[in-house]
Amino acid sequence: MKKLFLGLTIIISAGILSAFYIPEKQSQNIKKDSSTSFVMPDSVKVVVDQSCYMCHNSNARGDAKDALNFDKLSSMKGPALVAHLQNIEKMVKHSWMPPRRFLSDHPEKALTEKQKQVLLDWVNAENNKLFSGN
Amino acid sequence: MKKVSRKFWKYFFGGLIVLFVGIQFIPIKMPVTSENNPDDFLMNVKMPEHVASMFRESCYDCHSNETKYPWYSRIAPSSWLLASDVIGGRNHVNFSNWNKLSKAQQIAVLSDVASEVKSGDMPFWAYPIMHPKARLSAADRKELVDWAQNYQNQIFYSH
Ligand code: HEC
Ligand code: HEC
Repeated sequence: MKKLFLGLTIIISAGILSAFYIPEKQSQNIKKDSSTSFVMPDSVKVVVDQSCYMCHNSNARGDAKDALNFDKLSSMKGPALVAHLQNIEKMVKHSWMPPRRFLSDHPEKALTEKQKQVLLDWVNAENNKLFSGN
Repeated sequence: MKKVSRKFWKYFFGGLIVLFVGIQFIPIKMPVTSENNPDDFLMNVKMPEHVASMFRESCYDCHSNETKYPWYSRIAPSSWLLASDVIGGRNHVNFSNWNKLSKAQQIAVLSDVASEVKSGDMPFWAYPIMHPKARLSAADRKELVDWAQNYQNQIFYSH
């Protein structure tokens, strides 16, 4: 009987492990564009500098920089800019950024509700500009 | 020694069978399907036939309400994996709701589609094993990516 339980344990563990096979999230490729399309307001810049910029800048490494680079954001335009703003909105809305693992070491970098609203209002304003402009 | 290990395997496979039968009794609710989706992407967006068929064959089982469940969706544990793929897939992108998205959201979805297909991450790797029609060649991928990128421009510059 003991052996049966050992067998069951092994199988259940294998089952649980197999649940982690779901694909990892992938970084996005960034389209470059030369013309400047906006200037980030200071109120937004303060929040980004505090909670996002250290991972999402030209000197950063790896996935974070590939997914979003604030040094290049302001020179993007058109659909590429729209897509990046949407991604920022999604991450902020769901509190997926900054990453939870990072926040456990740096709780002071977490966004307050007010700071989230600053980012969301900004994305919204840029969106309105993008879709009423040309 | 030999005897012990034979005994082990006997219990191991015995356990496997008991477990396999047992898990069939765990109730599971597969995500609901619906054929009637007036806001559907393929119904509302004009695109080349081959591009449309790639979306339908390679993506729609996980990213629309029109999931076609295969026979093994009735058997645990593959039913669990399938359910989690469909729930996860629809959560990220559900083509059945296309017209409910804002233009900005549509552009973001197409941008994600282009990068996922370009990198080869989608369709999800295990899927084409059971669905050979869903396999995309390098040329297919390029066609899909190019279309998704062009259509972002169309949405953006045509408003
Ligand atoms: C500790 C580093 C770190 C900080 C701080 C951080 N990020 Fe990220 N971010 C990452 C990494 C790594 C990725 C790429 C991997 C991933 O998607 O999980 C990423 C991805 C993203 C993406 C792309 C997601 C997608 O699905 O394409 C967006 C948008 C983003 N971050 C926004 C933000 C914003 C906004 C902030 C500040 C509020 C922020 N990040 C702070 C590390 C960070
Ligand atoms: C077997 C099911 C399955 C199939 C088939 C499939 N996907 Fe997915 N897809 C998923 C799941 C599950 C996720 C969520 C992954 C995650 O959590 O990172 C996902 C996520 C995505 C995302 C969102 C990525 C992000 O960063 O938010 C896109 C875009 C996507 N899939 C596009 C496609 C396209 C295009 C196809 C067809 C060429 C396709 N998928 C086929 C299951 C599937």
